Amino acid sequence: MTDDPMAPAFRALSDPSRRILLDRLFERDGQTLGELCAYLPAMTRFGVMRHLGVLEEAGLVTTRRDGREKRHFLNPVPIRLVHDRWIGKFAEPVVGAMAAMKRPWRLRR
Amino acid sequence: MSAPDHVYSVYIKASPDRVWRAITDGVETERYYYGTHVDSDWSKGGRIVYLYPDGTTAADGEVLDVDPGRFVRMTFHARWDPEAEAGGPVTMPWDIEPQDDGGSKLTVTTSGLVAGTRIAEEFAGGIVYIVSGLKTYVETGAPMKVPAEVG
Repeated sequence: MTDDPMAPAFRALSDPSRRILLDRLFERDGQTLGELCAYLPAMTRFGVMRHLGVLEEAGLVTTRRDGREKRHFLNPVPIRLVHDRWIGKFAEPVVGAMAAMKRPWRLRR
Repeated sequence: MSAPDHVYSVYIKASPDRVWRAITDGVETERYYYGTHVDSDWSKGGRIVYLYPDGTTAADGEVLDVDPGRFVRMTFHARWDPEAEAGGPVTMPWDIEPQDDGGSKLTVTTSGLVAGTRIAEEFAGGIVYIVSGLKTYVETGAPMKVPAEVG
């Protein structure tokens, strides 16, 4: 077992069903288990819960109680860190160009 | 209590006091908070302002509640352009939980964003960038790679 802080995120992202769950949370954050189950109709509720568990373990999903419901929130921080510390160096010129086009939180000059 | 819009969290290999300093010291925020310098007395009811290097205001807000080293709940009002400003203030608590290994878990939540608006989209990416950058800065002392146009 290596002490690689990025390993859980890579493992969590390796599964297509888990990536679907992340995509749906990216579109709308804070969904319940019931809502998320609807995106994976071929899977049991238990199966979806298990995938959400892996995502939560990896820090990619956070949960909050909201009355009787448990809501799931996308936490993209570990993915951002994987990007900044590892993927970014391979894709840097492209990323730089796209960032300039998108201009998130741009400075007024 | 109703659920927030977004919840962002990260483990940081640094003490809660160290993380608190990174959040509240303007010289430190310049390193990871889009180059802005935060200024506030960090007391309840106090004003918070994030300043660009030229002294203009990037964003401002108010300290709603504070426990130094543990949490600050603030309002945050974007001032970086008129469309963002029109979105109004967002409630943004920052919580630091000490961990058994001496590190910290930082959680930033946002409430009051209107889904689908440009400000909501900018926030989603912006907070992730800031929280990731804070971790990298505190752990390594190195600022994040800043997008070219910010440099």
